[in-house]
Amino acid sequence: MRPESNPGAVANDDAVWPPLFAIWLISLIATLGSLFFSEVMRLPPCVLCWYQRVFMYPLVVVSMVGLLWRDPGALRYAWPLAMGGFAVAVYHNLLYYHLIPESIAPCTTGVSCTSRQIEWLGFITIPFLSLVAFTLIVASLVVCQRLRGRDR
Amino acid sequence: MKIDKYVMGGAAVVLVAAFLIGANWYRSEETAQAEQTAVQGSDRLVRPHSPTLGLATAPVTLVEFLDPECEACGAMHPIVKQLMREFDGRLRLVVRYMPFHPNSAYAASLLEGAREQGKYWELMDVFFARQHEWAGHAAPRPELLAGYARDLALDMRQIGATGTSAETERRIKQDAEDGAALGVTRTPTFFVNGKPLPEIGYEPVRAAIEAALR
Repeated sequence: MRPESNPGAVANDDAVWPPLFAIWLISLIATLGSLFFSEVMRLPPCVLCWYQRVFMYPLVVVSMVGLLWRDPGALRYAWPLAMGGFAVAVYHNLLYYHLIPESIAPCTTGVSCTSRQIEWLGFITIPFLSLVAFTLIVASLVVCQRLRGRDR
Repeated sequence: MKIDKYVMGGAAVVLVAAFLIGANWYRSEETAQAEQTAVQGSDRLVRPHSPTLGLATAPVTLVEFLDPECEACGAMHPIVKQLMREFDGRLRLVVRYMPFHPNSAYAASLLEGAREQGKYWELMDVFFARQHEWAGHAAPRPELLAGYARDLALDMRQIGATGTSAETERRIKQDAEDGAALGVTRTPTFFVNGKPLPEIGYEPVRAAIEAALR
């Protein structure tokens, strides 16, 4: 329902602001972080990393516009981006940690999607960071949805 | 509410600033590390077989790891020549090969052949000037290279013999090995009196030479 036909929606939209802000912050950190890895540290992104970037980068813009215009419609655009990125991140991590065999990895040329370029504290890897980011974004979207009730 | 925009603006500024500061820090660490690597491998910087241009007594030695097939090397070539003129008598150029592309080593072998006939720099000029013809990554035409040498009236039989000799192969391999040991991962990579330059282009190289002269 549109805000003008539902006076209560305005209050709901305000309630959505903090979790939507969290989505913006997480996606912005992920965007800058991935650019740091590739542009500053010159670690070439593998194919699966690129697909995750494709889903992550627009989230910054979509959530930012939603926040600035107080437009909860941004959630509609954020959902498919977040779920798409989450799906690729899950797949990437399964490959990376050898939970599914590498022979079915789609990366044949360029950088292997399972080569470990970074391993901080023994468990923080780039695909892991991506999975954490998408998980937090999906969780924040769930919170947004709860706060808005069933009014989509 | 206005406060929202301040919160967002503040967060964006903080994150972008962190990115830029981090990038700056990382680059300076990287430069320091590259200098360290270059110091450790300083005996690999110039080999007796390396082609040189300029006076042997010049106070500044510019070592260039280049690849005849690399576009950035082609773009830097006229700049290097200009610098040689600007610092005439004070600058010596040493060429090392860093063959990163499929036909780089072949082009280098022809250059080595031309060198014996005293036409090394002339042939290099032509290779770089006509790079767009023979070095396109989608459709490379290495067969054109020998033609350029023929145009310079070079003895093709001698070029063929030198180009395919074990000594030429050894030199090109040695250059690539030295480059790897010195931390050369991109072409062109310049060393000014043994110090690797983090940036290429007219201004960075000129400034490094000026600094070495001081």
